[in-house]
Amino acid sequence: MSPEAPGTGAPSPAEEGARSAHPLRDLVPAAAGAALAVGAFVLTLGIPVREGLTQIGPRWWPEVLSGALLLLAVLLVAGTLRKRSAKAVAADTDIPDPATREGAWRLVAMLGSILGYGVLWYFVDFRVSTALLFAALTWIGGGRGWKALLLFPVVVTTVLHLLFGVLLRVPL
Amino acid sequence: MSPIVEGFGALLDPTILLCIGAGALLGMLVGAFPGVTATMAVALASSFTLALDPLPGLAVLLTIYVSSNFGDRVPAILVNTPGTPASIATTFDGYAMARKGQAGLALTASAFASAWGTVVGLVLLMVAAIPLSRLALNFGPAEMFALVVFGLTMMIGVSGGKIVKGLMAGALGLLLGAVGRDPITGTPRFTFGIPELSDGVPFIAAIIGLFGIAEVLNQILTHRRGHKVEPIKEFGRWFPNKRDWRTMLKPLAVGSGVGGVVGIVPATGGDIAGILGWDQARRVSKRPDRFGKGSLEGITAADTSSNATLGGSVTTTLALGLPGDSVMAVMIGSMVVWGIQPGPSLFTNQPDLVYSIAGIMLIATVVALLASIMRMRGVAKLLELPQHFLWAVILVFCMVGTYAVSNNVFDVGVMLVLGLVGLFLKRFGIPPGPVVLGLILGSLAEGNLRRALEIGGPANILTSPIAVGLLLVSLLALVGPPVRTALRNRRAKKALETPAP
Repeated sequence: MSPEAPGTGAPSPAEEGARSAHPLRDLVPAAAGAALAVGAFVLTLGIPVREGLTQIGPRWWPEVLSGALLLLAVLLVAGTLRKRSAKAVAADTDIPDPATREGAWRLVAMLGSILGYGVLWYFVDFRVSTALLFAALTWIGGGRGWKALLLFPVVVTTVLHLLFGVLLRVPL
Repeated sequence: MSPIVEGFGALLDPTILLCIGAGALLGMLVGAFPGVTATMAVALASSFTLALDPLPGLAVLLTIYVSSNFGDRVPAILVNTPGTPASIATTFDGYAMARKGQAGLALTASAFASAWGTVVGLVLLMVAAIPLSRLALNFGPAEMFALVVFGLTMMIGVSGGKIVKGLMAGALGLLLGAVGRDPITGTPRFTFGIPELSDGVPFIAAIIGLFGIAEVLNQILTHRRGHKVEPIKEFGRWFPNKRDWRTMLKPLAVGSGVGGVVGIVPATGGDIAGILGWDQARRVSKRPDRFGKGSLEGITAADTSSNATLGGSVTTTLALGLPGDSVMAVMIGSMVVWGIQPGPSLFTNQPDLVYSIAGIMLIATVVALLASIMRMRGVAKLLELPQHFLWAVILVFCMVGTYAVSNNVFDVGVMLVLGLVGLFLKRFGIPPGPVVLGLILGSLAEGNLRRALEIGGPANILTSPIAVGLLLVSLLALVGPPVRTALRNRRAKKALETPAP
């Protein structure tokens, strides 16, 4: 199922190859998967088992899944190493756009604002804290001027309050 | 009263028509914004529709599902960027037509093709849903387990040659699904003493995190200032003439067939169907050389096929309890909260629901078609809206929406954590679909497998022809793509090694 679809502004094949060939793209998820599998297996040992209730206890399924996840992580590493040794380039069809330094700062700043909002919400009214969050997120995203930093937050906060607070009666 | 009259009659309530209107507006808008997928929109809308009754709630969600498959064609045609993955194949010929000064014709033909495709899918839903669910009613634990494995592997099998990563995603989802009470004995697992986790990882929060938050975080991480494609401004003629209609007939038929079949297969959606339909129409066309260069046949086949999957997806979801595509995986979460358990017994107990759902989707199709053919210059203007407004709106709506589901900050925390997990998955090429599917189907898979094994051991599964058949197809879906790739590589290598005469 690979008709030669005309381009849609995708990177050049060389660029794609270089990016998809990076072994970290496979090794990092493999390491994360293995760590998760071991962690889940250790936690599984803490699940209480009542003898005689059923032949197959509550630990069985998570144990099987942890084992399967570990096996898959090993398979992913083996596959990556084999591809590297054969100097083959993986035909990865879903390569994400590269992250930018500016984007990373933007992301951290937005996540920080969201955490700050979580704290602020406890002390300040929802409408005020949410309008402030909207202004912060818009500013971090690159919005400038009174329309972006004042009008937009007020309008969208009002819509949110009307929809959730008034219409759906959510205790905000 | 007959289920048909009862099902369609339930839609006469003005609230439902209002919900369809709201859903159509939302769906067209989310479709038109590249980066906001139908899955994400339905996940987000799930949070506020839970306060509604099931039928009006379904009206909003199903209409978003239908109309986003119309709205997403606008950026695909005008800026060569699919509004949602379902319109990938629309870009192949749509943008080329727009560059030739035929943007108006491309938009209108696409809207008619999409409407035709949706109607074909709905006929399939009305004809096949009840017989399919009656067949599935005879399934025991062994067959149900095999069916869940089948659904999971189909989603993994179509995840673009990343079988191991897809399987890892499925295992992660199943592990997340193991959080909470054990389905047989009720023993708490992985709850860490947190009462909110005793019912498992909250569905809606997980879905919004994995699909909504993760997508926005990825855009924030990768967005470059000033990196924008200028939309087409010249639209040309809008309505197809007699000759155009004749040209569209064959691709309409091909697209309907391909989309109908693809839609029934669990976990396969409009993106795959669109590409397959486009490819099949090219094979049978008298002018295959024009495909990809602005062919009316190409855009018609792609959009008919992509939209013909909708009815099939709903059929599989409601009749078997297996999500037909990622939007349906999200919708199952909402239905469960409403007390509607998709699966074989649903249509046997509530046969009128099939017709209510088909009716909602039919009205949604008409509304979306009308909105689409009313000269979409207005929607095209939306493409010029700066990204930062969209990011802020989605992030805050996701948070407040998730909070609104159970009025619990814990759910918002789960959503943000899973948003970061989703970003990690996205950056490292791991599909999020199998995680959600694993989470939703985990307890069903475990419960049925354990019951099957307790009753008669592995022989209980191995002696059931349906279970063995489904498991074999699942195995083929997993093993087939890598074997095909290996064979193709070997052939290519041989061709390179053979010296030219």
